[in-house]
Amino acid sequence: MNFVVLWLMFAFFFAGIGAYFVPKRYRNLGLDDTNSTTGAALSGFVAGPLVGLLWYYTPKLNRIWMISLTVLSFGVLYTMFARANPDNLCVVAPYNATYLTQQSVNGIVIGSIYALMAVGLTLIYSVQGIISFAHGQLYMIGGYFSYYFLDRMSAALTNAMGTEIIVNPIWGIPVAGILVFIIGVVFERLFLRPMHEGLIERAAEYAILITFGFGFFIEYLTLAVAGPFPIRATRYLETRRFQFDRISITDDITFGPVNVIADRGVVMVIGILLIFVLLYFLQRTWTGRALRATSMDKQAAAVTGINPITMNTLAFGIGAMLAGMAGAALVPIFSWVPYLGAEMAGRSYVIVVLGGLGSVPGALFGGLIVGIVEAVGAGCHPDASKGAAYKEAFALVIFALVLLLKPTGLFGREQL
Amino acid sequence: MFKALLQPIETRIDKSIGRQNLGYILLGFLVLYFLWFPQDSSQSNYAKTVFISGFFYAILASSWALLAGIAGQFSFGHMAFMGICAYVTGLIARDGIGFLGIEGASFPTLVAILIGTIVTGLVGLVIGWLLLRLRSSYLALFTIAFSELFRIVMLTEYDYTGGSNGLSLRRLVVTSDVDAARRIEYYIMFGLLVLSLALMYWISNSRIGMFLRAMREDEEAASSLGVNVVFYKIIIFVITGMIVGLAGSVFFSDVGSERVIPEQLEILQMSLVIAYAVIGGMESLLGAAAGAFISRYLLENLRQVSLPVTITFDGGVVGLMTLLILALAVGLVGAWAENHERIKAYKMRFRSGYIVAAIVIVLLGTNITNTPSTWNTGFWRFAVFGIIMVLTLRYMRNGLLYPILQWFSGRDADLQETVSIRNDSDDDTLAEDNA
Repeated sequence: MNFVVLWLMFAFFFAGIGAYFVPKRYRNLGLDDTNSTTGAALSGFVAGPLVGLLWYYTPKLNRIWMISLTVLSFGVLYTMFARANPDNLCVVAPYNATYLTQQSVNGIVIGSIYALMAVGLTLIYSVQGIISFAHGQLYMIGGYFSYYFLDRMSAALTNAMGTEIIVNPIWGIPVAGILVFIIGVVFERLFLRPMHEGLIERAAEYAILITFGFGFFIEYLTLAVAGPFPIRATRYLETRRFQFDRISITDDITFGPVNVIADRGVVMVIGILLIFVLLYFLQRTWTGRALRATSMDKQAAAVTGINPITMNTLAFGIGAMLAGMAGAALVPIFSWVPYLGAEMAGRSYVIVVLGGLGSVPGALFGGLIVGIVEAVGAGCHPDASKGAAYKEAFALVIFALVLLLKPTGLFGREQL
Repeated sequence: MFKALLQPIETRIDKSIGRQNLGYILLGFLVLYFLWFPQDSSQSNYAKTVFISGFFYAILASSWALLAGIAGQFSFGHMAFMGICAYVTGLIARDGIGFLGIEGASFPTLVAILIGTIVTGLVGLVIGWLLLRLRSSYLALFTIAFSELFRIVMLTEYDYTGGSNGLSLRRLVVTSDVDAARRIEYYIMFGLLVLSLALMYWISNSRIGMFLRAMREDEEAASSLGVNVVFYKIIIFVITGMIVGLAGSVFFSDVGSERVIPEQLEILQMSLVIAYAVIGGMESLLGAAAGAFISRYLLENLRQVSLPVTITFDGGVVGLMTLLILALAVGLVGAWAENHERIKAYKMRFRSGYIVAAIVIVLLGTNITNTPSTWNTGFWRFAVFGIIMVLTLRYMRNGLLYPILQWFSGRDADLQETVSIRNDSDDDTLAEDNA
């Protein structure tokens, strides 16, 4: 254990040294320094003092360099983890492959909904140029809309039919989507449009505070109306879990059994379907293309007859709707309290920054990465209960690192 | 109309003692009242506690106003700094340096608080340095991540921090007489408020404040004119972090039930502080402090509202409102689908109709009976507070108290700050954008 702690301090020390000095050297020599901070930090982490070689030779840090350095540092991290916790289920030889596969599958399943949330955020950012700090609360309120709709519908149908009828939570998703869309449009119309019409100075700060205040209002309103007690909608399916006995890549490499909790599987399918619908909308319809055009260049879009003001409203509405639908999709899975918006919002900020603000593919990849990191991190933590509590923290660590090392993210650009 | 009514009074004041002097006199009376308040034996300890928490939040809000309003650093990590100081204080007071694995005696509370404040300053140094490269939204995101990370670690490492039960702090004021203890705590907190306001006013009115405002308006321009942006950006995080840290450890070792809990570090708590500062006036330290104190006082005293009448709502109202909203939605989407010209005509025709319909429905569904009742406001008061915050941001960007302070400063005619110039230049900006 002590060896690992010492090594960690050593590795982080050289990562810091590298991240500080190497970019300076690149800049002094007039070289391209895009990846130098990340590259130097990773090589310092992997190779310790050998980061000096990077400083001396200053190679061009292209994509191959970056990917191999990332893979190497994960390898080193895993080795050290194995050394520190030799009895962990993630490490012990015959089980670890299956266990890690299981955790990754869990991560991918939930990651698709994370991606849905993040796409909404990224859509708002790329068109409006602001980050919505009310996103988590819109997600939360989507869940509440779905829950109350299902509750009332089931009661009404049961009354009307005379037999007990439970409405499938899948019907709550479009209803919640429409309601949250309306909320988003009304908010945008009242409070964000003046900003785009030039009525408000220092728009960036105003946007942060006004969306934050709006989230605050929604959260307390929900607390006042629905109370602080957890609710939970009915399940999607009767089946508890799908089991895949053998996943074989070749005849020799097989994993199994891998389980997927049935409801989460349904949620994954919903998430992927909604993302495809959104992509179709953005790529193939006139309105979607107009949105993308606005995100690229407002003035040029206006010249071709697109009303950028309408597109702003539409983008915020659709972003809010995606958050609301994600909430409605997840309400049968989690127990729902008004406080849980902040956690999910934190996660979607991680995803958009990791993928690059304003990039849809970045948001999709980021969602999957964050899902996997959370699941694997929580599953491999030596203390199971602490692992579950640290779930969100793993993503936040990535977030801090990305913001410090590569603020543009993986696919950093500002259009869709 | 108000202007016309106030005009003769204004001129009379200007001629006799002057507005500014009147402001100072009123402020002096206010301070005297606050000093006298705990001596008043008719006031309960609860009332003193409300005042103490009001002072505490006033410190938080005004230091946030310095950080965000004057220096332009929109940090959401203010509560985290407070938490760091409180936790370090608690750990040091409990274990001495023993929590590092070294045998050591525990420290007296005062020393622990001082060490905690210094540690918070160092953390502020590091955070400020890390944030150098990040601007508005990115900075907000990073500080949210930082404060959430801190909260989660404090929540999870329950072997050291006590988890969700919180870490108990030792009392700063140790006497068996509860009343006397509360009185001393009151004076300590009030003194802290006055001291920190004085320090922050000195900062904001000195050259440093000028530099900070310059950085807020345009960082590159300030830097090119010789402002050491790196130094001032870091130092402002250190100063505000130490102020809130000190206030936090003192507050939590006394009034805050002698323990600091991770719940205090949630973003929701942070948003309360921001709301206080926004309502009071983000660019005025005194405004933010007064806003925090008044809001805190009102929120605490409006837990139960006595009404002379009983108001009940029909269940049918909700249904009708839902129908109305759905009709509006269907209409909007339908109009949107057809073309954009239609939607304009549609809005013109129906907007006022919908508002009238909504009012009529609410009035029809409301029953007012003539019996007195009490209303447990619960979370509603926070929701209303949220609306007030959003509306303040939209329509009175300088805060609700700012006009009053501005009047007392006597500079409303000529020498106004950037804020008011901005309000006047709205038309120009609009014109520029249209052109």
